[in-house]
Amino acid sequence: MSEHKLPSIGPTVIPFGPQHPVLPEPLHFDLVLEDEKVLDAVPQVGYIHRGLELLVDKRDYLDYVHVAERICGICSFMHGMGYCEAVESILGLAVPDRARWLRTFWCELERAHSHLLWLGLAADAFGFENLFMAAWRARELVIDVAEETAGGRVIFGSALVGGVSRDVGADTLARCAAALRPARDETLRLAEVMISEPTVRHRLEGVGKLGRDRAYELGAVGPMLRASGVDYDVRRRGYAAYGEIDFETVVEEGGDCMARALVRLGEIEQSFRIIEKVVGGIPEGPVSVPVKGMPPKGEAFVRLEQPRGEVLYFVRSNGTRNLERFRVRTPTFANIPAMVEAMRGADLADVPTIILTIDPCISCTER
Amino acid sequence: MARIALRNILTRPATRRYPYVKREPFAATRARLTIDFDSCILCGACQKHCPAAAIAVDRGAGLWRIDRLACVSCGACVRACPKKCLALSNERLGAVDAAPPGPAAVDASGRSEEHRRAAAAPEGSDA
Repeated sequence: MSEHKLPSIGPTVIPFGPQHPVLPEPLHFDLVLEDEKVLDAVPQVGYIHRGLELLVDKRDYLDYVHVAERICGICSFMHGMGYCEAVESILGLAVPDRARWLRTFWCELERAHSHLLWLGLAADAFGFENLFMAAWRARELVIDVAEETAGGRVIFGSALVGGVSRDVGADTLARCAAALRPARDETLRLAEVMISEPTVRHRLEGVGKLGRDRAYELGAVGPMLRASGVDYDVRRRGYAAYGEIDFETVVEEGGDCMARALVRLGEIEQSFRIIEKVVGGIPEGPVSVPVKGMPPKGEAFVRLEQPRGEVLYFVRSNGTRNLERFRVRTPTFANIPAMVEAMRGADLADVPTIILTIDPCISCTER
Repeated sequence: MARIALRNILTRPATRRYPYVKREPFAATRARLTIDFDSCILCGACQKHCPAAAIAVDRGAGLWRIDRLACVSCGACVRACPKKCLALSNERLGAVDAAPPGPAAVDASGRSEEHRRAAAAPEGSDA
């Protein structure tokens, strides 16, 4: 009997998404595979474009903040606030101190609940159902605080050009800080369980590695960049009240899925710390300044640190009540090249984990 | 392991027994838009500022109408109202299943709610 050798059929292309059990959002990849190894991945977005940027020249510039908030269901407050900061810088408006601190409070609330949401989704992706439920139970406590202070569970509706739309009393803030303590303890406990679990480590360690230089070159942002050892956090710019609050930037050196998970777990804890500091040090005073008249001609450019990374806002005004252009560069968009790089050489079974560790938000990316 | 099992037996479930135990809404919750139609002057500011185009005001016909399923409870109308007759209550009534209090008309599907003023009333004299 002669030696029998199967002829090589060359690379195979496997479609991944736009509807895939691991990801609720429509993201499509053409995965080029050699056996089980990913040689290349060709991403494709564009399934849920809603044309929200175009609406800016049809709505009053003060009312558009409600549209900006609905760009994303998770980082909604930060989108609204980024738009407000851009318009305020065209108007030359200084926001009252209490409004800046309240914005910080809601930003961190959003970061905490976004990362807890991610923890649940990631746990669900690698089959850790208990962790998924426990993470979302902790997230529910955070969302309750959001509803008690802002009036909405995920669409806070409290960003406003010139400040914030509502004040939060001192007793409510103190009650919320107390209500968040169990959420923080629970998160720390879950983080400990997750990190020490051998099966989780096996799924995450050494998977989707991205070196420090490569992450920087590809323009990765947020936890993706910080997990590769680059200490870069836009909050250091000191917008809102971040200049007056002491906090740590969580940086990991690994560059793999585990490092990205560790960065997010560390950031949840930091968020709860920042919230406690805001509650302890918030100044008294008005929460908004009245905005009258039309914005002058001009352009503005704002950067914020969202849960998923750095986001850029560009606004151009032509002197009327309707702005001429509003543009958002979302963190997921910036992270896609780095994600593709991290997938190369990975196993097909690890692709969902790698996609989830960049925490993609496709609705933001397409707007 | 045994400790965790014992604890889980002794503690209550994390969920509420929903139909019997209901969570009260927070005071700050933005839910259903209410109108004090007697002080409304039908100026149309709410219609102009509504990002969802849920409110329709017709001054000539004395009509104020809201599409309950289109309303996103953002509060833009509440801020725009010059007479402060709009408010966001924290009641999470279903969009279509509950009749509003007062003499407002609701269409058959319950989707939109109308307030109508007698057409004979002259503008501005209804304080």
